[in-house]
Amino acid sequence: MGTFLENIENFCMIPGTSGDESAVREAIYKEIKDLPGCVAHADNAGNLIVEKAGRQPPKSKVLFCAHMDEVGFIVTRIDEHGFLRFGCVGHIDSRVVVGKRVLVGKNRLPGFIGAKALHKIPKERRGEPAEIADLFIDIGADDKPSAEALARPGDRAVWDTDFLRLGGGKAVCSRALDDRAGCALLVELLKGDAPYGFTVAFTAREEVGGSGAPAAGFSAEPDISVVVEATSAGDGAGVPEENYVCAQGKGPVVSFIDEGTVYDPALYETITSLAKENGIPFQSKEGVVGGNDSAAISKSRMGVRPAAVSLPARYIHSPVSTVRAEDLENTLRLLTVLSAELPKL
Amino acid sequence: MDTMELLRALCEPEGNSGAEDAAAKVAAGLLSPYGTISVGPLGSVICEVAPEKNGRHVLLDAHIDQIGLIVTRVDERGFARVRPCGGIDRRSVSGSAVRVMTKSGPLSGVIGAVPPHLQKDEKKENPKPEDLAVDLALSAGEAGERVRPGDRVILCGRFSSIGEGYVSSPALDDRAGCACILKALEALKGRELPCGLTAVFSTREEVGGGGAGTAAFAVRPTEAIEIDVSFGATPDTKPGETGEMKKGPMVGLSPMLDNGVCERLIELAELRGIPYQYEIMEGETGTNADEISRTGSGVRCGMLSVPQQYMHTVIEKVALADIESTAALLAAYVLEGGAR
Repeated sequence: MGTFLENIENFCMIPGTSGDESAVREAIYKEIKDLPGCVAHADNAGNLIVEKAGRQPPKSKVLFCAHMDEVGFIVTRIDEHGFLRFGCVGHIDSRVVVGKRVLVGKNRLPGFIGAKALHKIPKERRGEPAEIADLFIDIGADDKPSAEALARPGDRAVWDTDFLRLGGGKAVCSRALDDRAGCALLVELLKGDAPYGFTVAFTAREEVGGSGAPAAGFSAEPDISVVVEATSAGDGAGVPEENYVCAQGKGPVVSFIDEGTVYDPALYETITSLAKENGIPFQSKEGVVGGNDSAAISKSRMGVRPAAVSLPARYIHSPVSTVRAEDLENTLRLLTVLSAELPKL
Repeated sequence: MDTMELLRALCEPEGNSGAEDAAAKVAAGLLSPYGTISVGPLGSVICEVAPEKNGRHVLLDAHIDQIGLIVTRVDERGFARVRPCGGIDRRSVSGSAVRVMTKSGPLSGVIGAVPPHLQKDEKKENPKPEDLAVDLALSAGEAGERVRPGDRVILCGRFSSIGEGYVSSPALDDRAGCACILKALEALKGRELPCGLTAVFSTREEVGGGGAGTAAFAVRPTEAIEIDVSFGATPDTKPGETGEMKKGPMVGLSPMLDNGVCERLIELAELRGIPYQYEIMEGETGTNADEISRTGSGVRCGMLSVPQQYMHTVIEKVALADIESTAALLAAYVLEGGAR
């Protein structure tokens, strides 16, 4: 069984773009199947649903949710030169695509995302970001038949990046921290002793707004949902503070609104009060940006009261997203409190 | 040494322009079996294989430096602000892992990117050189202690083989050229040479040169061949605009180059059945050939380029076969005593 940090690394290293999460699901299942009080099953939407038994039955049924999928690429065709043409799965800015290494398909075939040399583009156009349609994955094949022997349309690709520790362990850096870090947090939550029972859903297809969250919300029948996301911390270099939305090192991010969901105001109050009572640093998401599985879950059946507790992550949807160790720890502390307190509501 | 292993040995050490020590040291070690090594004041490694003979002395040059970034300051939030050191590809630098080469050792960091969720509707643009910063996950105080202005920053990549006979590394420009020279020297070892021969691995090519011209001044060759990488074809390039991969060295033809040297290279490639292709330039070559030709009272220069895809990114890619055919042509040229 992996430790918290080992799980983050292991989960991040598994390719799993939206709709292709099976390897991630298996890795998570392996981690939780023998945990006390955990009964898990995979559903038709590709989610992994875990019922955690508590010492007492909950008054309110609480669903904790993290998505297993990541943004990446999908091969659309193989061109006459043997290059793989591709599209993006989820939102990816072309400025983090050119010149990156990728792993293609189930066999993790190494490839490079190539482009025409910058020197061959007229000077006045070098500031323009590349168009995804002009880019291609080079797998070192010399022609179309050789490429066809190795890859096919529909194959997925992800950035091939190393899992790094930055600042002497103050932060970790990888692709897919959104939301494998959330998955690892919920695995930690499942390891603990639960005063009340709760449900955890590791969902599929979040990055493409697919069937994962609606199915999980329907089948878990929760009263309350807590989505655990890696959310965009805008506190990069040179960004004015008013544009941060949230920042690293300030603890879990509690949302009251984003582009997909207006969160339950009473739950927001409860969560922030619990954080204060327990001396856990937290911050609010100061901006109406992004969205997560809450939008779909809150509309399940007769409605679910939504909450979101997120990790402030820099550079998400890039090969080098980062999260801070202290934020991971404080988010886990808050989730542990919530798993004990929210079922009482 | 096997071409792949030779390239790996050359590419693994870092060598940003003006800070080539690690790469130059490895390269000097690889050159040492073939001649007498000296190092010029600007750091270029000079290996005299044979002194001038019959009034002829051929110089083979490839540059040892690679592009990167340089720290200009540590800002009030602990980000290392950096500027390009060499012509980095603005399209590819966001979302990159880097290593800051500090006095106390390398420090991992990243060049971030604003995620789509936080982008406003402003017109999207590739990052400007003045906006580049490295996130070290350190406070201003901690970063200030470790990092200082002038520290070099290397864009992380991986040396790897890929597909059918290709290799990739961020340093192939121009360690690929260094490999061609080393392979040629290996082929010439123990042979009686009809001319003098010196190999130079020059510094600072990516930042305006200096390493090659000064080394050439010291060597005083009668002629020189520059070995660099040039643009390999990608699907969107026009015929004639770039070289084809695996079709051999691109023989440069340009008003800056010496017709006699170029013609001799073509003649020998034909004679020996070595694949080659043309690289036609209207003026300056954009390589060390330009400054070597202007050295002293002038040096007759030719140029061979290894076709390389994805220039100035961490996935620079060349074909092993092109390194080998370039080396074969260089060896043939020296054995035949150079230009007529």
